[in-house]
Amino acid sequence: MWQPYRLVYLLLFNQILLISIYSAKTSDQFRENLIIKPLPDGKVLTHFEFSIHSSNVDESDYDLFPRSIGQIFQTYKARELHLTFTQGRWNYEGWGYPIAPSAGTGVELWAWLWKNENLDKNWRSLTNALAGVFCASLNFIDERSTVQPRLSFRPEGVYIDSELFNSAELRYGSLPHENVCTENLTPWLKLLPCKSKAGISSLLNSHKLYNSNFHSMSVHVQPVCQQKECHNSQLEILQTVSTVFDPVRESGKRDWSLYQLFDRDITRACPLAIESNIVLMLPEVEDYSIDPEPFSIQTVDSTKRRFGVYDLTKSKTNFKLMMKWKEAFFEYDINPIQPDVYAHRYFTGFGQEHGGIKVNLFNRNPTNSINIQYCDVIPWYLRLYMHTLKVTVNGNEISSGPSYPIKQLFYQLAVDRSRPSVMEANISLPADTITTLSIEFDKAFIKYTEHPPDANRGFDVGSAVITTLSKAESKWDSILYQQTQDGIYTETLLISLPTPDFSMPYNVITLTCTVIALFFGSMFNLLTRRFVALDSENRDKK
Amino acid sequence: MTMRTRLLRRRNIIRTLKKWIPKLRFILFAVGVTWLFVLPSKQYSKRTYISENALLPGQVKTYYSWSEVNEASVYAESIESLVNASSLEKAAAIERELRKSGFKTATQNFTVNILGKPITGVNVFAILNAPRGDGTEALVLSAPWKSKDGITDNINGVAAALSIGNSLKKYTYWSKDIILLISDGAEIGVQAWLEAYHDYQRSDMIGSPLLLRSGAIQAAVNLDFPGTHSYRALGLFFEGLNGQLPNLDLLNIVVRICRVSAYIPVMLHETGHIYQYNDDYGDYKSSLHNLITTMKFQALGHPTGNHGLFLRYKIDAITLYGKVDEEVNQQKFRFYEIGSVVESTFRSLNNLLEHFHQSFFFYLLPSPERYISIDHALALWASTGDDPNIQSAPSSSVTVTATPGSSKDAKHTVDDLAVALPYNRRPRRIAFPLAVLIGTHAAGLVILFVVKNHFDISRLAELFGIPGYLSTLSLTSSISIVTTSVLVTTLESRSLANSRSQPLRPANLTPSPDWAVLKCFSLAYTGMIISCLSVLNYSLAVFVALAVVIPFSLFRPTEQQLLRALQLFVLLVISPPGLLLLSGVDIRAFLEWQLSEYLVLGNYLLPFVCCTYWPTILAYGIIVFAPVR
Repeated sequence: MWQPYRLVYLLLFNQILLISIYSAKTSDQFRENLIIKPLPDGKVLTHFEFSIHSSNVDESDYDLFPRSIGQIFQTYKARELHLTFTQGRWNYEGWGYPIAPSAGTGVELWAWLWKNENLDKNWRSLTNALAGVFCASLNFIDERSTVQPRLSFRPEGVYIDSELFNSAELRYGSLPHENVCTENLTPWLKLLPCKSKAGISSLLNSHKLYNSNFHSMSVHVQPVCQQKECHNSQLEILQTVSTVFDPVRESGKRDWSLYQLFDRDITRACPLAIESNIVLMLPEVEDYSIDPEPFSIQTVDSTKRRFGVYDLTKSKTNFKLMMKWKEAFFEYDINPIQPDVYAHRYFTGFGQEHGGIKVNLFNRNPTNSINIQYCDVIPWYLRLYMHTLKVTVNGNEISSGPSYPIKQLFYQLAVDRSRPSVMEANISLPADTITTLSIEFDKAFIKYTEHPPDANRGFDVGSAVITTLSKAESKWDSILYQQTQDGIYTETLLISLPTPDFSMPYNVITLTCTVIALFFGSMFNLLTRRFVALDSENRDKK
Repeated sequence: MTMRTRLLRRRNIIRTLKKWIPKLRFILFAVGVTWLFVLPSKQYSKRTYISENALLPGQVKTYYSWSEVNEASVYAESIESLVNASSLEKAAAIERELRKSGFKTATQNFTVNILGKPITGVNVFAILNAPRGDGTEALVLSAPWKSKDGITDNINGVAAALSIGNSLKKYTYWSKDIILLISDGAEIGVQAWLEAYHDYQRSDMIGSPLLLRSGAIQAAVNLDFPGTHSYRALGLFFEGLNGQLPNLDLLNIVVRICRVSAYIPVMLHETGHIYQYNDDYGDYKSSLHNLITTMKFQALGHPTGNHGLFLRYKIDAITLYGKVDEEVNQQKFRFYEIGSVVESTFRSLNNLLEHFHQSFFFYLLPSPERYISIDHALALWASTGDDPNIQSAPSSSVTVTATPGSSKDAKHTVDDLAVALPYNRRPRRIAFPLAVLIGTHAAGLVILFVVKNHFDISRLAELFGIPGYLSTLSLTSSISIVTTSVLVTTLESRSLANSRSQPLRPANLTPSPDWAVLKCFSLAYTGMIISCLSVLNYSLAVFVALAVVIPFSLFRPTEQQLLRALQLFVLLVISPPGLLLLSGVDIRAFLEWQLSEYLVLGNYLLPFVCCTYWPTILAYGIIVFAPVR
């Protein structure tokens, strides 16, 4: 399940890199890429990637690398940082896998922090600092929602094997109900060397980006290596924006053009970029036309998928791009193709006392079983009962034995008002099956002050994450370790807990009752107490 | 001094009360019944209002256009050609249409054994994922294949649902997913789907699990537009299973939209009293009719449409029903208006920030835009201290019954006041009366068991050439008669023994007769049941109270044969079989209907009647036949 296109870019970048790396005067290298992929259901995925590699972030002299992120990264002793804002759901069944690695609805933040005595304090400060930078409520990721997964969220940077896990610790937190909007995009754009003034980033028009079916934007900071020996380790900041547009909704056809999608064309490449490409993933069928034709076409050997590449640095005029299909209107595929692994999580039961949580893990691969890492963070107010954990494969319950899909299980018990439950499992999904995990819980009766202002809406439970690991086909030395991991995110869920009636009559009743109780208490006290006049002289004698 | 006057005053009050309670209870009963008829009058209802400000009904421009109407007509034609196809074919055809429109779809098969024969069906549903929505909340637009009578095909309803689904898909403003559900059969399909959606098996329905889901359902709108006609008026059905009601705001938005933007006539149910928008009250007769219809539906606990099953899962839901009218000169409506109303309603529901909670969940509607809140309707708590002629039974004071009134009519309990009354010292033996109550309830359970297995029994009976329902009827009656007579005989022998063993007791130490204690218990028990019921299913409580309060407070053993026979006759009339026979319904059909509702949907009327109502009648049968001394 590794992504072929990623490899293509890496190869592509490396070629240009070899030329540029020695010629570049500055130490930082900025690359910008836009990947456009027509999706099977007529939608169009646009994925922007901006990366800056820097060799000297330790010093206070910043070149292209954004100072605000670099300083936060240094100050709070982070080794690796991943922050993603997502609005909407990635439709795995209709769109396949996303190019961006993370797609859980809301905000997701995970970081590997260097081990020291201030680690938790650093994490708190990190969330607060990032909250400030991105105008998001990241500061609400407190100890009640922070966890340390053991199987998922492995480091993505390049490290020496020995210090992979020994010298750093993982922290993960998510806010499932955080809305993503222009106020988050603006600070994100400010991190780019060309802002949104030139180059590919000039397409990022918030009016259009937020009128789409899916929108995700992220910042990843991690160490990388450029050469085999890795003697000059670099720090990379990778910023991505993924957006899924639906041209069919507006016109009934899946034709698109850059201008139609973003309401803009690209005037020129960002002058600071050593690489500025638009990559169009060409559909397998041939009934379309592209204007202009790609400057070059490349093919991935393993899958035979073809890519059209437009190098913007070679384009002198305004760059326009459009794609037309030879059809009067778009017809949806009656039998959509499904990806190998996807998941679907939901609550069972009804009422405000008990409930259950179930996750269906699909493996549509007809021949191979697939190993996945499942990670689910469940807030403390859902009190899980571990003994009710059931595993069924295609509806048949399996409780033990070699066919038991759970190979390894980590479980962290929740502590009321201080930490959530975490369930992590290493699961082997048999070929062409639906594996279902289910667990039951009681809903906690929480304090009335713990309800949010929109109490009757309910509480959001963040996505579960399914990670499929594929050991990197390492182009580097074997002592260096890097793996690619693909996250599959389930739906976020909404649960209603027992909610008091916060309406005005209720308030009036509680208030009046309190007043009456106070009044009655003091009156009763006065009435029942016996008042005895004491003789002051007698008392002195006693 | 003060203490003395206080005590004297207290005694006076108690005496007055004692003197008045027997009369008061009739007055209160009369007030209660009168109140029921006063309720529909204009003074007692208020005009409805939208309580949740976010809903903003009727304030959007609707985009449902004539091109979609054409599409709906095409759908209607193809659906009409499908009505005789098998469930599977129907589902496949609908699923194909939905897939073509770009929805994610899935089907669900279900099988359930009703009345001894298996019923199978296939539900189809599609999910429109809200663009950029997180999928935690959903709205349902459902249309069953069969109209609410279970016979007519809901052709226009299904066609409208499909075309509305297509039109809703064109816009990005949805904050909640929209689920289109085309359910098979009438109510069973929805029941199967809801059980599977919540993954919570409660009946013996076998449904295939759903592999496609959305988030928590916030509201549901069910379309019931039978046939391919045009419609005279939009009927609103809102009573759910066991008398549950959706939040009043949901009804309000539909009525408001019909009034201000779609301009189509509405009425409650299909009573025929078309609501005049310029006269929100209407006349007394129509108000009373609307009220009684609602109460009847609530008391029967029958969901008046597919929406009724959603309510159990705390999903507010409503059925929009198209009332066909044969008159030619009337203004009529079809897809365009249906589409506009539904689209506008969904726009309002889409605005919901929280679950429906602002407005009322307990109300009575005399007209679509007037409501009687529960605090007005509840409830003439006619307090019935028991017959003080029963010198022996101060503890019998009992609060029975329902209906409106202020707290002034609140319960009076004699117990608290019975401080120094001489008869208080009479011993009352409670073991036997308790045993009687337990015995009658055990009989009730047996009756429920018999009724539940009605179909096995009737098959057996039919071998002997007896109609099935008669055998069930006779079996249940004989259980009642046997229980009653056994207990009465024991009672007689007991009282005989008592009178022999203790011939010379001082009057104030004579134990009170068993029947008196039993009557106290029964009354207290009935009072408790009715008051509990009144908060669960108000209408059922009212009807039970109307039936039993007067007979229960008057009946007592008597030496006079005629009086005894009269009492017995009344008891027979208000007993469940008596009521059934009197109402003139087809007993067989009624029994089957109630049974399937109980077994499949979970309507609790049948167990309530068998396990609570019937036993109290039996207990009274025993009281009537008990020896006086």
